[in-house]
Formats: sequence, structure tokens, C-alpha cells
Amino acid sequence: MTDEIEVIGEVIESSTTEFVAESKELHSPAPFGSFVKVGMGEVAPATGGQQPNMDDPFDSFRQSAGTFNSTYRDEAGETTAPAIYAIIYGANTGPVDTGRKLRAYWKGETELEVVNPEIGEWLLVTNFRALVVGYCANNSVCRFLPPQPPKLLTPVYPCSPAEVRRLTDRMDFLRTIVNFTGAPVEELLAACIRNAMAQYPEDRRNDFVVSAGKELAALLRDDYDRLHAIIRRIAP
Amino acid sequence: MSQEYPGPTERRREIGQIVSGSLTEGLQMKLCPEESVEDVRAGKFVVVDGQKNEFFSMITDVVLSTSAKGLIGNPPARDDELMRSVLSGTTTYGTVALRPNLMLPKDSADDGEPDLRPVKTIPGHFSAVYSADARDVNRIFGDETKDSKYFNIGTPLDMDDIPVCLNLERFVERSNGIFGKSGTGKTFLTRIVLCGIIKNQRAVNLIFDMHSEYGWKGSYEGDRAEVRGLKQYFREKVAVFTLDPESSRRREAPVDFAVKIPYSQITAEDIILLQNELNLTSTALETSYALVNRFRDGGWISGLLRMDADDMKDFCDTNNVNQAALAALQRKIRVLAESCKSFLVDDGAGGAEDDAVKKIMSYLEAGNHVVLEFGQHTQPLRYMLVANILTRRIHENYVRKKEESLGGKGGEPRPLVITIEEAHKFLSPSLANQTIFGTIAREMRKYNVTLLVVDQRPSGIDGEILSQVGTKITCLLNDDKDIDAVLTGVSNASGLRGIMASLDSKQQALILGHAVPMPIVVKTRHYDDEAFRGSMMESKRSDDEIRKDMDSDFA
Ligand SMILES: Nc1ncnc2c1ncn2[C@@H]1O[C@H](COP(=O)(O)OP(=O)(O)OP(=O)(O)O)[C@@H](O)[C@H]1O
Ligand SMILES: [Mg+2]
Repeated sequence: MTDEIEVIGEVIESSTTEFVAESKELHSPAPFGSFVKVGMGEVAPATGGQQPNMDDPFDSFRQSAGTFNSTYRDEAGETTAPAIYAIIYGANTGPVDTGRKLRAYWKGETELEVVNPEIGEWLLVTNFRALVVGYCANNSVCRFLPPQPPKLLTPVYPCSPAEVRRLTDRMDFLRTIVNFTGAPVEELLAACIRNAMAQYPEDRRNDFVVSAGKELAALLRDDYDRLHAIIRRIAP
Repeated sequence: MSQEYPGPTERRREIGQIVSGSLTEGLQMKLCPEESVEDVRAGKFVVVDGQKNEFFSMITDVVLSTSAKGLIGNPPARDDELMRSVLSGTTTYGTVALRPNLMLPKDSADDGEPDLRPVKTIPGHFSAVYSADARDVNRIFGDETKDSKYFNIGTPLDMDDIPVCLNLERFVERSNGIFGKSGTGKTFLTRIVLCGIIKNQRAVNLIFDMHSEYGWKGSYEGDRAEVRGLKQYFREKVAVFTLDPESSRRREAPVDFAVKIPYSQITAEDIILLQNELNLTSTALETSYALVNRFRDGGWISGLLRMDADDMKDFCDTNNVNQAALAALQRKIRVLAESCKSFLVDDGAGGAEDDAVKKIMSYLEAGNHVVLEFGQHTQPLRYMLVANILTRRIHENYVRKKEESLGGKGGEPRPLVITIEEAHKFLSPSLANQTIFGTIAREMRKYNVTLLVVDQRPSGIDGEILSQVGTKITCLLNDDKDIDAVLTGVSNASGLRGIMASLDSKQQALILGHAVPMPIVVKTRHYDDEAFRGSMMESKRSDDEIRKDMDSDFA
């Protein structure tokens, strides 16, 4: 089975531990705490022979970058394309020209879209930030930092359920988050565990949450209150 | 982990890891998160897989531990399922105290007698702890099917088909004790042990059967009214003697011999043994000795009973004895003689010559076992009197025989095990130095006679004697004094204390001492069920035949 996954952004700032991407959709960045990936090294070749659709600015990009195929299925053990995995820890929307301060327009949302479409299309931009938690190379998942940061201007995709499951069948990513200081860590942990849980079949969700919780309990052994706060945010 | 150590560990189940410990205080194990604290039972037999040795250990305590300070003050809500499952095994976990009892070097040969050693070191940090498997139990406690000196006495906790064996050879080398509160299964256990001794012919038995539970049948609190006694298992080998033929007839229990005891066999010490029961004063002993001196032919009791006022006055004047004391003694002995008249007979009366002691000795010498039923005579007074008189004379016989055999005349007498219920009555600190039972317990098996004491109040038994007891089989005890008493002379006893108090109220026992390599808690084997019968029965004669035989003997 081959899933074609929609690109959701493009890397515009990159470092070893985290990166910033511009969201493809204004106001709809990848959800907080969700798992994303950035291609790494060799990428599948461009889908043969099609002309880029010039009306769609992203089409040419997609054609040149190639479609990012997620072919990994945990059950069958098929190959996974090399990629850097990261967790979304924040997003913001603001004017493209950071030197220019945005003013209120005093128009309703619908009217604004009709009268001033350029605001949505050219003046504003949504970015999201992601924390690198691991990568996959040679079909094995490494739950530590990749040797190189993500390349600039490469596309960002959501991880497939299979990839999320494979990445989270060990809980090392939780430690990365716990040690991170640039985000509301408790919220992030809870959101991230909820997101991962949703990728598991119904009957395995509880086991997953409990083992994630146990890992947290070990990580936060000196801080029962914090553990409690996180668990409360996970429990439905 | 298990891949690095193939072999025995594969069949065991890991239940935790050693996290701390000391040689003197024992080991602490952190329980695996998957194991429930409630499955960990005190007394369970486990194996610690050290680097160079395996340590055979027993669980002595279970503790709830937590690594988070705030948790105790702010426990998760009752319905907070997730929080509870997250905490269990991580922040909250079970810590289990282990008492290592034996160690076995890993490089020792796998076949033959295992090279078990006392524990002189402890396993390293994070050594895995496994619940023991059948092979471990066999290696340590022996295998009944391979050697008849081993006798199945029960199964370890949580391991229902694996027998724990008693080494009977060692068992009969010392005096032994079976203890426990009333109704915990002492009598059943004793019967099981006796069956083992009889079946494997390790010794001959003399059983003072106070409540008539050993001979033909015993009572059973359960779905049936009675269980078979020893005679029904070992027909040719067990003889039932009785003090109360009437009662035996009523119970339809066939007997081989009715015991009569002539007055002349009662000594002054026998009377002193009864000082509490007869409420004797401290002068009674002197008075008795004076009487013994006066009636040198041994007829002091009949002599005393025949004295009238004048005789007494004469006697008191010549022997410097208080006349009131003598009168009191006479009164009390008259009461005694009256209450025991069905088996205490005056000297010279018919039948007394057919001496019970001789008869018992001849049975014992022929390798048979004797159960002496007391029938209705269950009062401690009668029981003690009879047990003491017979035992003293049998012991004398044994001493003589042993000495003869040392002098090259005749063979060694067969080892004899004397079973007494309510043992504290004979072995209390105030009496232990005077009764023959105290002597036997103290001299160990110098003369091939040992005791099997059965008692519900071990604290009533003299401490010195308890410390000589070789193997102690203890059912539930919850009086601290009793527990302390059983553990006198046991090293590292602290862990065992809790175990003894947490045994089931029936059919569970802690065995420690000479006949087992390490202390162990067992679920006692079921007495007189199909399986037990299968492993014991050997007589091919039918019930009726035996009954006829015995009745004709009796008549
Ligand atoms: N090994 C066993 N097999 C079968 N039943 C047993 C066994 N052990 C104990 N029981 C049950 O427990 C009951 C009490 O056992 P038992 O008569 O041996 O107690 P006890 O300790 O001798 O009590 P007491 O001190 O009153 O003489 C038995 O009637 C029987 O129902
Ligand atoms: Mg009893």
C-alpha cells in the first residue's frame, strides 16, 4: 500500500535540534504536538513525465521534489523512506514583512476575503516550529538527533500512522521533550501522547498511554505534581 | 537477558531485581512492574540468579514503596484509572524482602547431589529473581522417586504439583516438633510424617494417642466424618494398644492389646510429674521417697493405700515425716487410683504380669509400631502418668540394649520415635528436668530414642529442649511467645517470624531444621485422599480379615 501524503510546509529555518517551516495553509499549521517529517538524503524520483501545473504554485514544487511516499507498514516491515522526525511545538501567524506592523481592517472575515484577498495570500504567513526527535535511515529508526539538520526549503509532511507507531514504540521522544525549554512542556507532552495514541488501533490505545505514562513517571520521578498535571491532560 | 544465560533460567519466570541487601539483613528486591504485589506471598520459594551462584531464598516481607515524595500526601483519585496504572510499577512499586538460605555455585555439576552451601555472600546489584521451578525444588529437597529416604510432605506455595520432601534419614536422627494453634492440622501432619517413617522403615514408632486419632481412624472436620488411621494403612505393621477397651469397642476400632499397669511400676517421680494436676505440696516428694524406702519391694503405692491411721503415725514418727502431708498424699493417690482403676491395677491382681511394657517392647523389636489409645482417659493426669511410666521403662530397655550392643552383645536396637501430643505438659521448664521425656530430648539419640513432640503452645516447653529439636514443622502460630519459642536456636530468625504468623489457618506449614536443607513453607499434602492412599497402601488383606484377626487377639 502506498499512501500519498500532502505536503504541509517547507523548512525556512533549520538547526540540529529544531526547525521552522512555513505552513502551506494560512492559519492551519500542523497541529500542536503532531508528528511531522522532512525528507533526508535521496528522495524518490519525480513522478515521470508530467508537466507541472503552473496555476498551482505548489505543484511545480511537488513535481520537482518528488512525491514523498510513505511505504513503511509496521506489520509488514516494508522500507521507510529516510526522513527526520519532529514534533510540532508551536505555531504563529503574522505579517510577511516583519518590519511592517499589521493594523486592524474592521471587516468581517468573509468580507475581508472578498475585498482584500491579498491579505490572506501575500501579506500574512503562518509558520510552525518543530522539535527534532529522531530520524530514519537505512530503514531503521533512530530515536536521537540526526547527523545533519533538515535542509532548508525542503518540504514537510505529516508522519503516517505507521511511522508514528514505529517511532513511538519506544518512548525516547518523551525525554527529548521533557528536557526542552522552548515550549510549555506539560502541554506538549500531553498533546503529543494524545496524537500518537490516535494512531494506534482502538484496542492498543490504553496500553500505549499507560506505557507512555510510566516512562514519564520515571522521567519525572522527583516531580509528582508535574506528572499528575500531564496525566490529567491525557486522560479523556 | 535470558539469552545470555540459557538453561535453567529459561523455565523460571522473572519477578524482580535485587536492588539492595546485606548478608545479615537479607536482600531487597524491586518487583517487576508486571507482577502484582498481591501475587507475592510470604514464604514463597524464589531463586536469585547471581553472577557466579544461584541463591535459593524465601520471601519474608512485602513492602509498598514509592519514589515520589508528594505522592503519599496527594494520592490519585479513586477513579483516576490511568494515573493508577501509570504509577504502579514505576513511582509506586513493591519491594520484597528475601532471605537467602542456600547457594549453589553455577559451575557445579548438574547431576548427582548438588553442592549446596550455606550463604556466605550475596548476589550483586540487579541480579534477576525468579520464581523457582520444579527442578529447583527437586534439586534442593530431593526426589521421592529416586531415593526412599525422601518423603513428600507437601508442595511449595503457588506450585501445586511439585513435592517438597523431608529427608527421613535425617529426620529420625533428632527429636522433632510439630507445632501450631489448635485446628491447624498438627495431628494430620503428624499422621503424614508417621506414615512416611513407617512406609520407608526408618524407625519404629510408639505413639501416645491421647485423643484416639492415630490407630484405627481419626476425625475430620470436613465433608466426611473420619479418616483412616495408621492401622488401616499398615495393617501388619501397626499394633493398637488401648487403656480403654470399652471405648475402642464403642468406636468399633479393633485393638490388639489392653494395657494394664500395676501400682508397683509407679515411681515417686511419676507422682511428682503430676504435682500440678494433683495439686501436691512441695513436701510430697520427700514423703514419697520415704515411702519408697519403707516399701522396698516397689509396693509403695499399695502400701500407702493400705495404711490406716496407726500405721501412718508409726511411719511418720520413724521417718520424720509430717503426718498431715502423708494423709494428704494418701488421699490424693487414692483419688488417682480410683480414677484410673480401669488400667491401674493393684500389685498381684491378675493380668498385671502380662506386662504392657514387655509387650510393647516385643512389638517394637519386631519392627512393628505401637499406637496407645487413651479412649475416654483423656485427662492430662492419666495421660501423663501412663506416658511417663511406659516411656521410662521402654527407655531403660533401650539403654540396656544399646549398651549391650556396644559391648558386642546383640545388635543395635531399632531407632524409636515416641510421639507425644500436648508435649508441653511433659516438657515445661519446671518438669523438663524430672521427666523421662526431658531426658530423651536432651540426650539426643544416644540410645536410639527420639521424640516427636506435637504441641499447640511451644512457649510452654523448656527452652533448652526446644533448641535441641532437630526439625520443626510449624503451622500457624500467632502468639508472639509461641513464635519466639519455636525460633529459639534458629539463626536469622527475623524473617521467619512474619511468615509463621501469616500461614493459612489450615494445612500450611513452615518446615525448618535438620531434615530440610533450607526453611520452606508448604501446603501440607492432603491426608487420606485417593493420591495419598495410592502412595501408602501396601496391605492386601481385607478389612474384615484384619478385624477378625484382631478381635481374636483381643479376646
Ligand atoms: N493434611 C491435611 N489433609 C486433610 N485435611 C487437613 C489436613 N490438615 C488439616 N486438615 C483439616 O484441618 C482439620 C484440623 O486438623 P487437626 O485435627 O490435625 O488439627 P490440630 O492442629 O491437631 O488441632 P488440635 O490442636 O485441636 O488437636 C482437620 O479435621 C482437617 O479437616
Ligand atoms: Mg490434634
